[in-house]
Amino acid sequence: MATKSSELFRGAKDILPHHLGVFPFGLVFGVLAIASGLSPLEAILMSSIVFGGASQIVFVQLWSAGVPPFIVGTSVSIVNLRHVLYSASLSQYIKNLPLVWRLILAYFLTDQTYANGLNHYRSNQLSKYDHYYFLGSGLALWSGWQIATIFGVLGATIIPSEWSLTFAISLTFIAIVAPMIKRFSDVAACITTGILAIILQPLPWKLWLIAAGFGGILIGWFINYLMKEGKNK
Amino acid sequence: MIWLIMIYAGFLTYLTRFSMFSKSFARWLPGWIETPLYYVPITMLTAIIVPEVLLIEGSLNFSLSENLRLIAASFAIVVALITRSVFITILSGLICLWILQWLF
Repeated sequence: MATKSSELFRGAKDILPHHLGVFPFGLVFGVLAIASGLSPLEAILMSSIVFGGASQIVFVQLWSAGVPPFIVGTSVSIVNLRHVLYSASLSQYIKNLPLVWRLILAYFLTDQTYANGLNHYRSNQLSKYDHYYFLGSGLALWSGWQIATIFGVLGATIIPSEWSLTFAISLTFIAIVAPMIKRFSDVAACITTGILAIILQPLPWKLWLIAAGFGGILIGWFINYLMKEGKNK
Repeated sequence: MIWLIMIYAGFLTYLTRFSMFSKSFARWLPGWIETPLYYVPITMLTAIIVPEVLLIEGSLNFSLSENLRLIAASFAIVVALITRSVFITILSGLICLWILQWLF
C-alpha cells in the first residue's frame, strides 16, 4: 500500500544514482563561483534561487567575463528553455493537482527529476501519491546540490578525474534513454538529435541544445506518422 | 546588483518550469501534442549525452584509441539494456572509463 511518506522516500531513493554526476558538478560550480568573484553567500544562494546546474556555471563564467548583467541573466534563462519541454511533457500527469502542488513541484523540475519522474509516470507502479514521489526526488536532488555547492565554495579540492565524474551525468541519461528506444521513430529521433547537437554547437547561448531537441522531435514525429506506428505510452 | 540578476534569472527559470503546469497554459495544448511530446526525453537527454561523449575539446573524435569516453559509453549502453538499472550502468561506465584511462 503506497502512502505519502513511502512515495516520498521512494522518489528520494530513485534519484540517488543521479547524485553521482550532479555532486561533482555542484563542486565545480562552487569553486568557479568563488573564482569569478562571487561571495560565498552569493554562490550558495544561487543554488537555491536559480537551482539550475549548467546554467549556474554559465552565469558565473559570463559574469566574470564582464558581460552586462542583464545579458547574463537572460542567457541563463535561455539555457534553461528546455525546461518548457520538460514541463509540457509532464503536464498530463501534473495538471490536475492543486495549484500549490504545481507551484511547488515546478521548482524541482530539473534534467534529473524530469528523467526520473517521467520514467516513474510511464511505469506501472503508479499510486495516488505520485506527486509525493516527485517531491521526494526533488528534495533529495536539491539537498545534494546545496551540499555540493557548499563544499565547492569551502574550497574542496577538485578530484583529479572530476571531468570523468561529470561524465556520470551522461551515463545516468544513457541508462534512462537506452531502454526507451524501441521503435523506428525512436531511433530516428535519437540519431537526428545526435547529429544536430554536434552540427549546431556554434550557436550562442547553448541554443544548440533546444534546437537539436526540436529537430529530433520533429523527425521522430514525422517517421511515426509515415510508418503509422501509432501511440506509445 | 548580482542579487537582482540572480532573482531575474531564477524567476525566468522558474517560469520555464512552471509554464505547462499552469492550467490556462496547458489548456492551449491540443490533443495531438502528445505524440511529439513523447520524444522529448529521448531527444533532450540524447542532446546532452552526444556532445559530451563524441566531442573532445570541441571537435569530433571517433578514434577509439583517443576517445575513451566513447568506449565507456558504448559499454554503458549495453549494460543499460541488460540490467535496466541506473546505478549499475553508472558504476560500470565509470569503472570501464577509469580502467581504460589507467591502461592508456
